[in-house]
Parts: sequence; C-alpha cells; structure tokens
Amino acid sequence: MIKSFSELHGAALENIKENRPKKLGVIIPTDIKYITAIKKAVNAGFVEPILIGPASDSKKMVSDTGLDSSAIGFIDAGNHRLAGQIAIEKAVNGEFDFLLKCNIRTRDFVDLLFADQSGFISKKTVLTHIGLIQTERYHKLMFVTDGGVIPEPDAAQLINIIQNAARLCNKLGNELPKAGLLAAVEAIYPAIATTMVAAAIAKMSDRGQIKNVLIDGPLSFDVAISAEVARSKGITNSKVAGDTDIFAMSNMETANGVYKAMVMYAQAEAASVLYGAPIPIATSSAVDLPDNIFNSIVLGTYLV
Amino acid sequence: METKIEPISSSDMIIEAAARLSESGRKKMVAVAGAQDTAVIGALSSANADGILNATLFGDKGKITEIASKEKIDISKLDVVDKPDPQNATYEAVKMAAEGNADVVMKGFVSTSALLKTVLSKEFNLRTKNTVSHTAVLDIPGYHKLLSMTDGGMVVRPDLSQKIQIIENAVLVNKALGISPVKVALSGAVDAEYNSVPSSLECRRLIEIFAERGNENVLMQGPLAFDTATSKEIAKAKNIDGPVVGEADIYLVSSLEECNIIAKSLINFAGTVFAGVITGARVPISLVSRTDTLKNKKASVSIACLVAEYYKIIGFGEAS
Repeated sequence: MIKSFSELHGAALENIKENRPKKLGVIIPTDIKYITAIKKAVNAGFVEPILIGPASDSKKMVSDTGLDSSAIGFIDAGNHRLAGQIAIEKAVNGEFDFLLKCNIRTRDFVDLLFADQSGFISKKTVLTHIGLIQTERYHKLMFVTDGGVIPEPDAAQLINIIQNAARLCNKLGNELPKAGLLAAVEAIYPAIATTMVAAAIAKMSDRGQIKNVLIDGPLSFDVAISAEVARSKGITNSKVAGDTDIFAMSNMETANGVYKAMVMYAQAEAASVLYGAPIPIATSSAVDLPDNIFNSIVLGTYLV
Repeated sequence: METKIEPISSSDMIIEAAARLSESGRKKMVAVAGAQDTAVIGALSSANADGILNATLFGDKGKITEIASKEKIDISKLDVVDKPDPQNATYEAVKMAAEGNADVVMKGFVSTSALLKTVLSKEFNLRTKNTVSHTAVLDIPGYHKLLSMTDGGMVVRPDLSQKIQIIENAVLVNKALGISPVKVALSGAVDAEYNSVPSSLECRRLIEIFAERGNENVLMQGPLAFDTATSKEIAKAKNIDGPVVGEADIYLVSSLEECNIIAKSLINFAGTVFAGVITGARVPISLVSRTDTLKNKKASVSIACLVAEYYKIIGFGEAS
C-alpha cells in the first residue's frame, strides 16, 4: 500500500518502465508552473504531452523552461471552452491516456464535462474530486473528497463519493480503505442532518451493504486523525477513527477549504484528481506549486 | 468615548491586551456555570495568575476542590460558590452577569444549550435581536493577521438572515480587537457565482444588504474560496481583485461542518492557535474544551474579556 508521494513516484516509475510513457492531454497550461511540472514528468519518462491552449504562449513557455519542444505536441485553442472541448473529443477518440486540467477553473471544466454531448461522461457518471494530502503529522496519505463536483451530496451521492475514493485507494494498493464521514461533532444529533446521514451510512457499512470499504461516522476531524482523541471522547470500537484514509465531507466547500488550508498553511504535499470518468483527469488548484502538479501527473499515470 | 487600540494580529497579542486591560484597572470578572471542569479551572487559574481576569466559580465545591488538588491547580485566588445543582449554578452565574457584577459568562460542566437557554431567558434581559453564534479567531502561522471563522458552533446551516447576524456578531468581535475596517470574505468552493453551486448565489444578496445599510468600516466580498480570501498572490494568479482578497479578517462559511473541519485541520496540522467566543447576547460567553491547549484556553478567555470591554465602550452591554 502506497503511503506517501515518494512511494507513489517509485511505484509509478516501475509501472512506466514496464509499459510506455502515457499520452497526456494538457488543458490550458498558461502558467510557467504547469510547464515546469510537465518538464519534470517528460524528463522522467512519465508522459508524452500535448498542450491544448494558446499555442504561441505554450511554445514560448516550453522554450523558456528549456524543455525539448520536439517531444511535445501543440494544439492551438484560444479559449477555455474550446480547449476543454478539444480535450474531451480527443479523449473520446482514445488519443489520450489521461488529462491534466490546468488554468481553467474546476467548476467551469466540470460544467463543461456534464454539458458535453460526445458521450465522454453522462449524467449518471459518478465523477468526484479527490485531493491527496501528505503531512508530517499524519501516518499516511489523506484522501479528501469531494472538493470539486457535487456541492451538497445526499446520502446516495455520499456513498458514491466514498466508493469512488475507495477505488482510487484500491489502485494504490489499499484493499480495504477506511472512510470517515466527517462532521463538526462525533455525536449523532437529530437536529444536525449531516450527523444523521453519516450515522445511517455507517450502519449500512456495519451490515455489509457497502463493500470493499470500512465506513464510520459521524467523526469530528480530530477523532478521524487521532485514536487517542477518539478514546478520550468515548469512541472505542470504531474501525476507522484514528486511521482514516478517506475523509468524506458533507459539502464541497469543506473538502475544498481543507485541501487549500493544508497546502497553504500546513506545508502539505498534495495531488488531486477528478476520478470516475473513462480516463483520469489530473487536476491542480491555484494553491499548487510545480511539485504538487507533478504529483498529480504521476498519480494520473498510475491510475491509467 | 471610544478608546483607540492597536489592531491585534496574533493570539499572543490577544492575551497581552487582556492583561493590559487589567493593569489599567479594567480587569474583567468571569462567572462560571458548573465549574467542576478540569479544563475550565485550569484555564481560569492560569489566566488569573497572569493577571488577566478574576473569576467566580459556581458549582459543586467538593468536586471543584477535588479536581484542583488532583490536578495541582491553585484556586486560592478564585471565588468558589457552592452550587452543586447544575441548573442553580447556571442561574447564579448568568444572574451575576445580568446584574452587572460579571463581564463574561463561561460554560463549565453544563450543557451549552441549557446555558444559552438561561442567558436568553426573558428574566435576564441579555438577549439581543441577533442569534448567538460562535466565532473562532484563528492565529494561522503564515497568515499575516487573525482570521475569524464563523459559525462553527451554533447555527448548523444559516439562512440569509442568520448569516447577516453571524456577520454582525463577528464584526463586533473584530472591532473589539481594534480591527478597522473589518474585511469579510463570504466563503465558496468557487470564486464566482455558479448556478450549479447554491452557496455561491447568496453572496450577492448579502453584499447588497450590507451596502444598503451603509455599514461603516465593513468591507465584504464573495464568493471567495479559502485561498483567494487569504492570499493576494493566489488571487492575482486567478485574476481576482477586490477589497477583501488576501486580506480577510472574517471568513463566513455556509455550514457548521465547513467551519469546524477547516479550523480543526489548521489547528491539528498547521500549528494554528485559536480563541473562540460566543456572541450575540449582551454578555460574551466563553467556552473551552479539554482537547484545547493551555494557550488556546487562555486566548479564549482573554478574547471574551476584550469583547466584554468593547461592549462596555459602545454601551452594548446595557439593557435596552
């Protein structure tokens, strides 16, 4: 089981050596930080990228970073919408192994994906945003979700969100991930709807209705990350508390805010992905510097 | 008359400012409801020793003495009033504040809802037109000022009118910290209005309401994601400008979970110290948790003292 980004890099490198560099469609890389990350990934043999965006900008940045432009494809697309549509079209045609979403707002891209009629995804596709966070103060990777697609998930959607993240954990060698449904409190209160939903889903998990993942909730953040705090609050028989892999949030603002707070102020290493589409879509947030964007790319190659 | 104080920008400054109040003869009295609580006694004893406050402990005297001796907490400088019944203890603590003999009410070993019910009961005239809400004032290493996140404790899912009141409550806390103008960021996972993101749509209405009222010294902007609210550099990269970007004093969130979980991620993983206070009544209500560090606890009781002082200055504490 992969517990850190350095382990992910190692495993992904082995994977690439046995196969071939992955074909990567890059959407609107209009900032040098994306090209810096892409350069690192190209030089390590992870990807063969095609940059979709204003081609003259892309070419200039590629040359500025000293990346060999003969190894890169360029498709000129003047605006976000066009770039997104070209990427989706080519993905449907099987021309890309995965995508990297750069300088287009996640929400705009998600709205574009769901509006698209080409059959890449449908209204029924369970697409979720998963942020991977590594901090010195936690013993493994944290999978924070959903930070970008479903603003206010209902119970059925929360289960989908957890199962999508569980599939991602499976791919990283964690066969039975532990998911916590996070809330402001660990007690269940009828007046706080999120705690009732969390408790019901946890009960479904207890009864074996949700496979391949252990789920408990509601869990407050400190109970989710610390067995000691869990014990002090009387949570003694949880299979998840203190050892949570998947941090399932009851709304998008929370997942989004935690990811950003951790990257900005906890010096956390991170990666993120829109998961559930026919091919993975590596993402990055404005808070992410080249190292995190590189992590997202490496993750993308490993999920293909 | 308003005394101008230097804007407070760290948890250390909160504690120092409360101590300075005491030095200038305006030491605050904290009345505790149900003081047989280790975290509360520890926080008050330590704050008292630092000269920050005086305290009257209403509660089970036997248990209070037992806790103090077991945990080696010196309570010799604190007044203890034996009220073993939690309801009586709560009543007496609130009454002391209502009669003007205490400046802060503090929650001990009683339920928050029972305490609030007493504070807000008609008998005491401590109720205001506003709902009560919790403001968590965060001292985040790497952010150049304090960030008040609200509401992470009281209102589960605020509607528009509750959001207005929560903002007003937090603005008073910020003014008590000498912050002016107060910059309010309205949270969103996004930085623009989207029909597909309900929380983003309410922001415009909130901004209009505050603009119509001509609230002095309050600047408001939203929706702003957490990064845009607290980093000018990131806002610039996203092409977002405005009076609040990168400078938020208050981050108003859409749900209890959002506030609580983001704050706890910062506290657990980013070395953040926080001071929390419940406002919206005519007397600030302080509460600390046993999982708080001593510094958190001291900052929390200190900020309640600063809010109490500000209420006195503006005449907010007086019954209408």
